[in-house]
Amino acid sequence: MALKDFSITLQKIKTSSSTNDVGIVTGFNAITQYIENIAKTQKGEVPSDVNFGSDYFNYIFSGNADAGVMELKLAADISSKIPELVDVKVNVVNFTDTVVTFEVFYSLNNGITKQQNSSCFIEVKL
Amino acid sequence: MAYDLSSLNVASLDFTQIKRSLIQFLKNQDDLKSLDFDNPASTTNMLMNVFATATAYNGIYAQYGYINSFATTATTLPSIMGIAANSSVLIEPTKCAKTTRTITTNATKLSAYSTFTATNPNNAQVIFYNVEEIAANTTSSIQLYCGSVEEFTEFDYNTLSMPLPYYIDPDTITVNVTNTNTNITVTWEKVDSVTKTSSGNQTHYAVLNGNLGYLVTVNIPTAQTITTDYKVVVTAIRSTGSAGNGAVINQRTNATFNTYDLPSGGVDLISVNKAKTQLRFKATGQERCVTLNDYKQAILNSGISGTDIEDNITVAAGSVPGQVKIYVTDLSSSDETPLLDYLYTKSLVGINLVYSL
Repeated sequence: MALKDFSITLQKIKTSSSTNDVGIVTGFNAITQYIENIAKTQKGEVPSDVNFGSDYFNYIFSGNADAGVMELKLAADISSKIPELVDVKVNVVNFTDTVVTFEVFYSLNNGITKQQNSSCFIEVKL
Repeated sequence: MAYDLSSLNVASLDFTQIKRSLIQFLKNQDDLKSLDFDNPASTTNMLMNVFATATAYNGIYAQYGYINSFATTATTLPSIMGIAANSSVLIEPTKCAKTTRTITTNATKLSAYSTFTATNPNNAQVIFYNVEEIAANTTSSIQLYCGSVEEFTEFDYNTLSMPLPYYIDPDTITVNVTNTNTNITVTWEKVDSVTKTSSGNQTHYAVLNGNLGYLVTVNIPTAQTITTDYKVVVTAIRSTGSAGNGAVINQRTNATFNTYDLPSGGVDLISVNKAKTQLRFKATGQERCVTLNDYKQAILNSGISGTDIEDNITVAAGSVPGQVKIYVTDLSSSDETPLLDYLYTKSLVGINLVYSL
């Protein structure tokens, strides 16, 4: 797994070799961005891969929004789309009418070693 | 940097194949090879989705456009009618059932588009209309058309034309032009060939195929120009296809029938293949039978029952010069003579048509 990705903002930034490179994220920053991409995409939103994203959105406006169900859904979707992440666990740390914030815990298994107990915060504006 | 574009295969219409090819190509570039193209959650992969989607849509639109630009490959009726318009030929996708009747009016004139109620062989109510006005106390031969009357007023003063939908029967079109200053209305005359009249400034219009169906246009050399001082109203009958064939028409109190021919000739909306055949016969063959293929196209366009399957039609040169043998498998014997009569109107002088294999 090459943990190197374009920054989602696709902003041009100054680098030592060039003044016009598109921003790049690597390592755990890349993983955070992968998780963010899944958390901010509703299933069915990408026509070429309708299973990409998460359907926890379905529970947000259901009247009796259940944070526990949302946590399980998002954790399952992250695990299925990023197979290198294991022991994925999600906690809803903030949930208002306008924003939901998740804390995602995971371990990274690159096939040789397992780096345990990493986490990141993902904020999704509603 | 030199790119090996020969390995980039994005001319496909298959999204998955385009995306795979794009990724394969970009992964091999030195600047990009360390990026994570494969994980569906990566921004790089999402960017590939956008590129591949745009490429696939471009390909599909281009292919659709190319296919529908030619008479031989077009797949939609509007496309065929648009091509017909470019070739200045008229395709009629549907026709009203009609009959010619001699009528006598009483002291009340018969206005244009008056209704004649009727009952078709399935006991359904249908309505027939006359197109021309008949003065009071007159005996006249008129045609009655089955359908419903529609009015169109969206005249384009720039192109001097008005689009009409394909479901109307072009034989039923009436163009009334009113001078809004004098309030005088003139009914314009339909012309099929502008070369028949030598002088200009006439009240002439022509009907062509347009992208929506038909185009009523006064943008022809012999016609006078219509300015915004004039209001144009086009009235036409929307075809109900074959529903009016064989219907029994009731006479009106102000118009009694002297003849009673049953209505016929109503045709439901034709298929795309039928429209293509019409277009090729009219545009390529100019509605004349010269080659053996012209005869085939003419037979397919005859409107005679049982002549719409190309494989059933056999056309061959006869045993003597000037003789053409025609045969249609499963054609009713009563339709043989009407078919030959129809083909004689399209054939060259001196051609002898024989109905045989």
